[in-house]
Formats: sequence, C-alpha cells, structure tokens
Amino acid sequence: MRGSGVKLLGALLVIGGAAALGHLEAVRREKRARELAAVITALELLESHVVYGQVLLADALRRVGEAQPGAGWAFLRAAERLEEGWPASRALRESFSAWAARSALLESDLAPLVHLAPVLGLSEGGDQARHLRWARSQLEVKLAGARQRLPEVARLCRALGVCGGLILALLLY
Amino acid sequence: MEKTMSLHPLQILLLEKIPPRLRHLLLPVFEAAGDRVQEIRICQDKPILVQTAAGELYVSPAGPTDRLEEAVIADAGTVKELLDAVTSSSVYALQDAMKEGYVPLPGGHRVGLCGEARTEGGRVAGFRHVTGFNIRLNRDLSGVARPVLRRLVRPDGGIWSTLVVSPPGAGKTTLLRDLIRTLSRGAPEYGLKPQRVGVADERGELAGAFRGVAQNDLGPRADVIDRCPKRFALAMLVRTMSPDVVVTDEIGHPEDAEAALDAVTAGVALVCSAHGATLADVKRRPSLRPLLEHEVFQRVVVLSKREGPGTVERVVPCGGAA
Repeated sequence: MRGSGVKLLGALLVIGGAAALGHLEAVRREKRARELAAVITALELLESHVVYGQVLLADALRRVGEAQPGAGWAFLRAAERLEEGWPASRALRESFSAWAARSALLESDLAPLVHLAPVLGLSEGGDQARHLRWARSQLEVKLAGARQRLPEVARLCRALGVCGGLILALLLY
Repeated sequence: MEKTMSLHPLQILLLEKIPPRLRHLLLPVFEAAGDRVQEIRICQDKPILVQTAAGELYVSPAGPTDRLEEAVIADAGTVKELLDAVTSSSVYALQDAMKEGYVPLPGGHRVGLCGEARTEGGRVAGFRHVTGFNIRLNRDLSGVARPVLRRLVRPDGGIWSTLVVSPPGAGKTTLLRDLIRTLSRGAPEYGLKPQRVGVADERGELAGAFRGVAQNDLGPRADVIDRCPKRFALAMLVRTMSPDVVVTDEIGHPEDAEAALDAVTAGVALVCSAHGATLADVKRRPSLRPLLEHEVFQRVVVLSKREGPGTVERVVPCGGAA
C-alpha cells in the first residue's frame, strides 16, 4: 500500500516535471519572438536618434534603453560602457553578450548585432542608416521564423511535455 | 587619472578624452613640457610628434625624446582608437565640423584631420578614411590684451572699432579671446566700462564651444553664436542681443564685410581680425575693402612672432580718430 503510494507520487512528479519542461520551452519560444520584435523596434528608434537626431551614440543608446523595457537593458549597459570611455565596438559586443545570457535569444539571433558593433557610430549618417537597416532586416527574417505557427508550436510543446511525462511514468510504473 | 596634479585643467580635459594607451604615452610629455605643448601630431605609420613652444619632440615609451629611432610609431589600431575617442563614437553627429577638417573637443581643443576625403558635388562631404590627427591645444591665456587695451578704449568707456592684423600663428585668436573677456568684465583701471559683447564664432575658436557651451571664459556679458556663418551670426547678434561690441575672427568674404558694416552702422563697435603681416597686406584684400573704404576701424593692432607669438608691433590709429 505504502509502496504504491510512493510510486504514484513518483509518477506525478515525473509528469509534473515533464509538463513544466514543455511549458518552459513554450514560454522561451514566445519570449524569443517578443525579444526579437523589441530589438527591431529598438534599432528603429536608434536609427531615428542617430540619423535624424544626430544624437551622440552614448545618449542615443541611453534613450533607446530607457524607452524599451527588456531589450533596453543591453542598450543602457552599452551607453554606460561608452560613458566610461570604452570603444563603441567593445562596449556593444560586451553588452549584447551579457544580455544574451539572460535573454531567450539564440546565439545566431545576436549575429546581426555583433556585426553592427564595429561600425556603429564610426561613419556618416547615411552609412549608419544602411548598417542599422541591414541589421533590422536580418532580425526581421529571424522574427518571421520565430513567429511561424508560434501558438501551435507553444501548445505542442506543452502537450508534448505532459504526454512525455505520462509515457515516462507508465514505463517506470 | 594618475599623476596629473601638475597639469593645467585644460590639459587634463584633453588627456581624459584620449584613449588610455595614448594617455600613458603623452602624460610624461605634458609633465615635462607643461604649458608649452601646442600641438600633438598622430599619423598612421609615422612617429608621434609633439610641437612645443621650444621646438619639436618625439614621444617614446620612456617619455619625450629628440631621437627619431626611439619614437613610438602610431599604428592603425591607435588611429582607430583615437578617432573613436575624439568623436565619442559619433562620427555622424560631427559631420559639419568634419567637413571643415576638424573635430571639437571639451576644453576648447580641436583635432585637425587628415586622410581620404569624400566629396559630393565638388565639395568636401566628410572623410572616407581618417589616418592622421593634429591635436591643437587650447591655451586660454589671460591678460595678453592688457598691453594694447589703453590704446583701444574710447573716452566714453567704450571701445574703438579695432582690426587685429597678424600672420598665422602670431596670436590673433588668443588676443581676440582675451579682449572679449576683458570687454565683457570691464577694466576700470583703463577706463573701460563693462560691455555687452556679441561673439560670431564661425570656426569655434574664440569660445572653444563644445556642444554649444563655451569652454573658454569669455566673461559675464559675452553672447556667443557658434559655428554659424558670420554674415548670419552678426546680423542675429545685432538684432537680438543688443551688443555694445561685436567680435568675430577672420573676415574672409565680402558678405562677411557687409554684415560687419551693417553692425557698425547700427551703432555697434566692431572688433575683428585679418591675416596679414602688415596693414598694407590687409588693404590689398578685396574682402576687407568695404570696411576700410568706410573707415570702420579707428584702431589697427599689428601682431608678429618676432619675440614669440603675440608680439605687438604697433597700434595704429586710423579712420580719423586719434
């Protein structure tokens, strides 16, 4: 009697754990799409400050950071590094890497931003606009991929978690 | 920043702006040469050179040297780092100044640029590649106008319209800057009442403004319009700031002369400068002819480098006022 109770508890734990894993994966995918969209908006705002506002890069990054919750963290950090006297390329690379560790983005998602780092701020406005638009277009492709059938995929992840947990529990039982 | 107690605050501002690697190389030079440092030349694949009032020095890892073989050679990395630092990683925001061939720095210093220029429609639109810098230090010398001031003050406590004539590098900008400061504060010992001074600073050298804020002390009554063509700035100053005196640097175009003439006919004294070794040189320049023909100037100050920059050769009364 006592042994079957423990087994039941173990099965519930396995099912619960697998369901949680499925849920977390679904949340990560949803978060990735949201973050990609936020970075694209941030780059649009940055282009506006840089190309039209002619705002110094550190101030432009700060304004973008303050206007964009989430993705703005990386821009605020880059602004701080620039104000400390770091070269722009190092400040941006370091900030995006630090943000990657706490975001749902994949390493490949950050590639356009990493490519942007050595050129941002170091040429005239028209050239800056081209670099920023290129990075945005790359991120838009990734966002389109991430959003493709996102609700179905998220539901599938959750369902697979629960089903996987059930199958594992049955096999162990 | 370490070991900077003996440096002038303007030199400290400059050192704080440049990359750490260069700062460590230049700090001993500043400590050794002090206020005599005038220019620092940093060009790709060439030795770093420092021009002081006493002559030229190379920069070595051990400090200043006159031996070329010990000199540090600026590599591409140094040049890129310096461009990044002096533009605050914001080349796009400095295009107007860069088209003129320089970048302004805090403290009124300015960085002359060399490299591959980019042109559009026959005009310089910027730089495609910057490979060389000439950092010109702002040396805000106070009191250099005193030797000429007594001759420039009118009996009513104002100032005669004055033309400062000088060859390049003989101190006309420094003299104009100190004149602005003295006029703005007043100098009772010379009978000079405090004046409202309008400064048309087209090249940004008088006020040394950085992001619109004058870095040089121009006194409490100086109103500056920075990096605006003189013909517009002079008209704006006269129309809106009710100055007693307007000051501007090199009058180079007939339109500038016309604007200056308008200011004088509005009852405002004019102080400006012109390149030339003698008054005769200046009289030959078409751009100044309208001002000279209308006898705008009552005083002409001629400077030279005979005994070092800022040597006053003579102060000439003219235009009928003695």
